[in-house]
Amino acid sequence: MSIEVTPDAVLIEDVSRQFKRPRQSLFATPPVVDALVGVNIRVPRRSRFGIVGESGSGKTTLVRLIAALDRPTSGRVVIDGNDISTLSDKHLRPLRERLQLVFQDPMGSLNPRMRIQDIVAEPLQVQGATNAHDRVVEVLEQVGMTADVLRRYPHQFSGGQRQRISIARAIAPRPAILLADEAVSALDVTIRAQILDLLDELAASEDFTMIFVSHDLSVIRRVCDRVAVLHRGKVVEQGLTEDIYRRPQQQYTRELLAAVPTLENGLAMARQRRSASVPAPENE
Amino acid sequence: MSAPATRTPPKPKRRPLSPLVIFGLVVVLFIVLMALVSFFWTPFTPIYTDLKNRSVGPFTGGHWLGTDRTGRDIATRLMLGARTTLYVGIVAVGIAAIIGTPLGILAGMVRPGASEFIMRTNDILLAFPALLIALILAAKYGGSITTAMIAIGVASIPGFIRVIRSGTLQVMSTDYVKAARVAGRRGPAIAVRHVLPNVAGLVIVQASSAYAIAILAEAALSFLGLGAPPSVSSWGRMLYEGQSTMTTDPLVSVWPGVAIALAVLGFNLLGDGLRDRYDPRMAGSR
Amino acid sequence: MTTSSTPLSKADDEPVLRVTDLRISAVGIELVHGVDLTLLPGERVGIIGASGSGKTLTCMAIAGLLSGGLTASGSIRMSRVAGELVGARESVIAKIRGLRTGMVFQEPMTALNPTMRIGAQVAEVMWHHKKHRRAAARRLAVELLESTGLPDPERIAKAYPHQLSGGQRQRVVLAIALANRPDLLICDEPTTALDVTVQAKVLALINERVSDEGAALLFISHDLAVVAQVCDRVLVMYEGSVVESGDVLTVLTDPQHHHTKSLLRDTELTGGVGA
Repeated sequence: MSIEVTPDAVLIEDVSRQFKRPRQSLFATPPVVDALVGVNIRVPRRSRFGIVGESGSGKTTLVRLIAALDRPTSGRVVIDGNDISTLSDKHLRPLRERLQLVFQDPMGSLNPRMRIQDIVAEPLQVQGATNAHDRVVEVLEQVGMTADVLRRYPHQFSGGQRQRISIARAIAPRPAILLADEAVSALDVTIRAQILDLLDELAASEDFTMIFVSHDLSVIRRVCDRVAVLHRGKVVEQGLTEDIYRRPQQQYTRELLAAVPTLENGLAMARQRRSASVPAPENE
Repeated sequence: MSAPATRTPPKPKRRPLSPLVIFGLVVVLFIVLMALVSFFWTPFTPIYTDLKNRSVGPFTGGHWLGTDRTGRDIATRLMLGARTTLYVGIVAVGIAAIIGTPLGILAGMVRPGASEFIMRTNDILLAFPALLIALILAAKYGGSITTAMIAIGVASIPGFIRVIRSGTLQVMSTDYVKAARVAGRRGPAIAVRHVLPNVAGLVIVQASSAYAIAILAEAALSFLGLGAPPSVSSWGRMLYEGQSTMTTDPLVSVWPGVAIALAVLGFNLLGDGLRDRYDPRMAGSR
Repeated sequence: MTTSSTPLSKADDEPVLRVTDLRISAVGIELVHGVDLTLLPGERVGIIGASGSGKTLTCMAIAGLLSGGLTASGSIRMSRVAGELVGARESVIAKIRGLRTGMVFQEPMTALNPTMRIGAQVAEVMWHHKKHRRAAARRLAVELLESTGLPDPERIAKAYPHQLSGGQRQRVVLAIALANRPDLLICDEPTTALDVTVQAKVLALINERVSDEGAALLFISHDLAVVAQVCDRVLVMYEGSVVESGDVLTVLTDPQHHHTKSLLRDTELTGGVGA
């Protein structure tokens, strides 16, 4: 199957996804849930594309659609020029080799019963690679881990280390697209910064398209040049990250930006509290 | 500057086994030991009938636990009965595990509609107790240990399917399975590489609970004459035979009763202990 | 949000909590090396640090929730409680917990009993400490839920935890923590599992409720920006020790220890390494 024809790594055209659900929440009892409504997204090849949205925004559904784990109710999902919404599972395989995922939860994303070498080698084996071992060592080094981790199990590593292993597994088959789903949301600020740096380096050196999904716009701003803001199943705004960060056009985007805790507004609040409770200086 | 955080979290610390679990383990090991010893040695030969000491109490004429109506040594028969109990249990639970585990994994991995079909069929099977299946088999093939084992085994399958399915659903929802699917792994490979190792603990847990039930079922079937024939010692059969002298010599029935109760308790406690250790849903809670 | 109510309502001179030389070890390995901490009534103190810094262990020790295998030494004392809390019997600590201290955890799902209705869970802490009769406690529970800004509290009280969203659950947990008007509220990464907009609302709520109740606040987080929003004083922990402490404005604008500096750098993602 020849690929490399379209300029877009991912093209999402007027995609809707509905779910039939028996009542799942106390307050919403509709039989049909619209997870995505008429979504249009264009991810240029080799770009770093952010998708920002909160829980319930439909971003999980969107991730599943892009990863071909689910199909849209209507519309087209085109990966590398192939419309995956119509392809059968068998024909999806060559595409699967081109897209890899990194997950949020570093605890749940690695099989606890498998050794690190087998975990990282899995996508390679599926593709029938003959010399998986060398590649495994190579990608582990790329994510900053040494070869002595090969025979160990996931529980022997910290959250940040597991996330590195998860990234190693994702880049092992040299994907064209890396889909990071809240990849740093479960991590400490320190580890978060390290992982973001790592993804940043890898995107440059490995030359893949990165789609980074997060609820935190400040994280997206750190690694992505373009962003789409998802709210209640719709794209409310998309464009260059800096533009949206500096001049948000939509009310929801402004709310999202205001909610991001920054040192600046944190300190402002501390100052405000200080001035409110006047005669404080006696304690301390 | 991508130096990984080198420190591993201060874990995992294994909790010591609770005294109850140790008690269960001791009981189970004792029964296994009795069964093994009986192959080489028993206090009396199994067929020996001490005509001078019939229906005597403990420690009379060298009989530790006394004799029954025909003068057979109770301790000897209990040891031989342990053999029958363990044998029936192993085969029955084996049947249930070998059929139930793959079906449970299947039910957890197929489309919701197919899964629903398997589970409703399973519910129908669940409605047939071991006793009923044994009666049907006995009517067709005659009561024997084999029919008892198959009946108990078949009746234990639904339990396995349920537990393994729920474990499988949990594993299927994890990110590592998602990663494998995105990487292009197919169902059977996911089942073997990801699901089975992660539900293995559940299989062990379910097996030990099913074992306790199998022991009870075997005793009940033998008591009703649908299990062990007169030539084979079985705790249930001993209970049945002690019935006629219940008022004059209750001890004859008490001993196998105690043995059954202890064995069931032992396997249940062990099963609970294993559950605490392996069941992912219990992990972390106290 | 009102910050005007001065937190100097009850026994203002005596510290609510006084921790001296708290050390925590697991099988011979010391994980926390002598933490000192004093909380005055109504004071808001944050503990920040990366995972593995010992901040959560410290907070668990204060709440008397150290799990098996972990031992604490040193001293933890609370106002109006005679005696030492380190090594105190469970029955003593259980009396304080929920009544004098309230706790909010990171994961709101596991902090609630999935098989109990919300209203019953809130009411339980009240009649458990024999502050109210059952019927009164039920009624108060609904009021309490309302005070945490939950919509339609009557209906929420009848719901089960899984029927609520993460933010709603965390509000419920906060309602439970504040049910008996504790002197000390301990929050362990209360907003880490939440979306940013929900996080902002829950933080505002914590701010508001703590001011209203005049409770002291001990707030554990790895996120400096979050700590700055709710705390007046801050302790920075690193590898089991407090490496820096002081006024939140001073520590975060003029950090002394290199670890504090690196935490600050990591918090400000934009000021970091360039692409």
